[in-house]
Amino acid sequence: MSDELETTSKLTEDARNGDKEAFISLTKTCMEKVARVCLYVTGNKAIAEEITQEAFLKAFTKIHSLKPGIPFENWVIRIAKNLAIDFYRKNKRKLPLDIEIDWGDPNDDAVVLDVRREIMNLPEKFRLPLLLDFYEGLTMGEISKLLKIPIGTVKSRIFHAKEKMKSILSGNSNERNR
Amino acid sequence: MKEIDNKINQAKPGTILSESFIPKLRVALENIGSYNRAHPIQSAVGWSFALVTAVFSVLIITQRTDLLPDFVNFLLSVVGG
Repeated sequence: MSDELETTSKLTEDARNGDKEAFISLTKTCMEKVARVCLYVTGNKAIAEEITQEAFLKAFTKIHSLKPGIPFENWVIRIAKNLAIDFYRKNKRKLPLDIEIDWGDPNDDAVVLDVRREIMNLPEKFRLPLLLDFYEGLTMGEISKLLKIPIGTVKSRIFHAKEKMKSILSGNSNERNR
Repeated sequence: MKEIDNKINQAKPGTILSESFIPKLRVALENIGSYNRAHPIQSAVGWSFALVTAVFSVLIITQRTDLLPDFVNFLLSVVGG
């Protein structure tokens, strides 16, 4: 077992026994990744942070239900993803979400912002597998488990997402060149 | 397709969470953990009420409403000491 994995297992065990500092340490190991998943769903940094907070609180109260052998990170990401999707589906019709394309780096140029805008315009069912693959490096199997869809569907959604991005971005650049 | 892959990869988000994330989480965790310790009587009353409601529900679901008076008498004897 690698040192990192051993430390995480120990922290998980301590957190399971009610050790809040262990839980905080565990949180620090994966909080940005969890927040990014929430951002991929909602497209809004402030909302993503709120949902991330809620996900970790829920994880703390339910940590006894975390089965041995399941990595804490994957478990929290699933909790956060479900909370984010619930929020997104409840709110997207009521009030249009203020989609931000400023995702944390002040040096982002116009092309990057364009790409983000188009990514966020993709339907959620295409966007999430694409970003989990590209930005989080999850395997097809991991995405399939997280989103509860077959591996074949994951692959086809990523393929379609890339096709859509290709046609949109090439269309945009043609318009810009005109 | 390679060009699209590169463009998507360049758009990866930076840091999402604010610096206040961990302090806020710490406070929220303290509030969760301290409830049962700070309010043991409310906590006990809450659990007792839930238990009584559960017993009532079971008696009604199993159609043993004939046992309700006995159960009420039992509760009154407990409350009355």
